[in-house]
Amino acid sequence: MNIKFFCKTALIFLFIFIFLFSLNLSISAQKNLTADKLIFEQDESGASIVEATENVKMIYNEIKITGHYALFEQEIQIITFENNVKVIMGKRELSSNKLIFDMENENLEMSGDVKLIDEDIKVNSGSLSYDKTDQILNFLDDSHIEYDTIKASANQIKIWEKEDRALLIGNVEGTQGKNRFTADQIEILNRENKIEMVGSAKLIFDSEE
Amino acid sequence: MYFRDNKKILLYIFIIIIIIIGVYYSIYYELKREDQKEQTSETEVEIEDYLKNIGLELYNSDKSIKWNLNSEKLVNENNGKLYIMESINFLAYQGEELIYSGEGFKAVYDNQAGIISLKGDIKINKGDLTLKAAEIIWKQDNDILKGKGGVEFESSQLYINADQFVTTLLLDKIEFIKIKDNQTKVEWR
Repeated sequence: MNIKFFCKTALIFLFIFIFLFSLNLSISAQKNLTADKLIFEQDESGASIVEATENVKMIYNEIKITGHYALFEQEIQIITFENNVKVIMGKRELSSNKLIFDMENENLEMSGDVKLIDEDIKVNSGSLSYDKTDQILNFLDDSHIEYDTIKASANQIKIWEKEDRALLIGNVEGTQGKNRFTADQIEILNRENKIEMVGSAKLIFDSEE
Repeated sequence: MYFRDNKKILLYIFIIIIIIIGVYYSIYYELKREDQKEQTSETEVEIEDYLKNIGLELYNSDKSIKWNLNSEKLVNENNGKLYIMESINFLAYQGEELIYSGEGFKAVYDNQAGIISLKGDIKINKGDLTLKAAEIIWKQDNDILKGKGGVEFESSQLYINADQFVTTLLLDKIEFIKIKDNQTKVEWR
């Protein structure tokens, strides 16, 4: 009886060990880049430089980035992607003409026709800076946001991922349904589409209502 | 009585036949062994003529880079047109400076075409960089080194695999290329 119990327990532990081991392997193997062509060089200090061209695809932990061109610089731990760049982070998809990826902290700097498409939010902008530690998306240069019934543009749009909160800063103009609004700054919270406006906010209601 | 004598005669004949066969084969094998010994010693003489740790020096087009190719065995074919070497190792120099070293199983140097091809688990070491391939080819006139088959490249931080590579002779710029659907891949350590 005891032997049978011991065997069963040992088997369970063995399966758990195999499962954890394979899980660990799959997680640790998630840092790679594939391309049609790679060019390896070393700079004067001996640091590696790798240039990747055509069908470039990088998987880095939970981030997947594709593009036509990428340059890895070991010295500064940066990968720069260019031409038709797409980033997939979970359900979120970002695209732009250029992306600078910091390999140490996994922050992103995107520029040139930046687009964000998420489940319930769309943003267009000239540039984006993403801070992974604080999980903040900071859109700059004539940014435009679509969130549920709200459509607005501003000089800058900051989105806090953890808090489901967006802050529109500078020359804010937008609509919610048929109503128009302008403000220096507005905040959109994901609590029944509550909009909090600060600064010189002005609401223009539709005449039919 | 008659049968008993016949049996004895038959027994004697049988013993004599065995002795004759035994003597014949012992002489035959002795002669054969001596032949083999002679052949072996002739081959050994040939090997000694060709192969005592032969070194080959190859230069690039402007003679700025030199390969010292060493082999335990070298065979000369086609009246000196082809040099075939086995168990090779080589050292590449730029002037007096050692740039990299390498090893492989076999090398064929075409003296007239100025092409050297190395085959079989080729491994090149340059500082902390290691480049591996099943085959590498160097055409002396264009100073380009090409490798193919299970290409692997390792540094302290990177691992690259590809189907082919093309590089300068200094190994300062290495291009990794895919064949068909097998993409080149970088993995970070």
